[in-house]
Amino acid sequence: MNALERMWAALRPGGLLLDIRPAPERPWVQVWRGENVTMVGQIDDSYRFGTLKVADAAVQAVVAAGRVARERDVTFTYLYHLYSVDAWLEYMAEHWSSALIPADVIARAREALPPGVEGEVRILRIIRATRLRRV
Amino acid sequence: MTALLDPEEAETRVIHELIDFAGKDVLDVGCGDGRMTWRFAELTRSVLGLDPVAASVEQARRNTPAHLRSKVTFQVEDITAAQLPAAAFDVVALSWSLC
Repeated sequence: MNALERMWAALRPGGLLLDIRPAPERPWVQVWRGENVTMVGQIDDSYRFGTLKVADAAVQAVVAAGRVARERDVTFTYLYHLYSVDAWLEYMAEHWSSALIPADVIARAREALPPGVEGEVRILRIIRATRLRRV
Repeated sequence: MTALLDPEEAETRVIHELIDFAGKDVLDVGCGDGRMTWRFAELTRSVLGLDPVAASVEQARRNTPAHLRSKVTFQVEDITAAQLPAAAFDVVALSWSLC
């Protein structure tokens, strides 16, 4: 029995399944200084896209089998705020190490937010939340 | 502090827009350190959080507020191997668990 089938079995009839996960889109990186915003580029986390596709197929399979019905999708932006370029890179190394940050993106971020200057790096990650109901 | 994650609480707003947790029995799959659990646990009747990473579950247990200890439980468990009671939950929440 796979993970979704186990969850389906654990749900009461009419119960709800909430699936939250990143959309298959590369997150944008911004530098904010006061009200000024510089888009410095995108993080490459496309390594995850294959897994997301497999997850989509698994959900679609339980929908097609008539076990759950898709009721609603909501997409939103999840923001990471980091208060220097070094803090951003340290965070990435510790928590998101499989993602690639192109060198030119780092260079633009350093140019937009030099050390000692007040501002922040923001990562904009698109997240999709789906509600499904056990039939 | 070097990092703030979702201080706008966009995720919290969305999960409450999609699910009414009031009085529900919730299975939180891939609960990690309880980051998402705390966004809805207050309203529920009960929460069972599962995660295969023992250190994360230990942290979630440590982080459990005293007033929620009677209704929130965490277990080190992989959903693909977990022995779960049939038809026991009103909501199953998966936070970044299918990817």
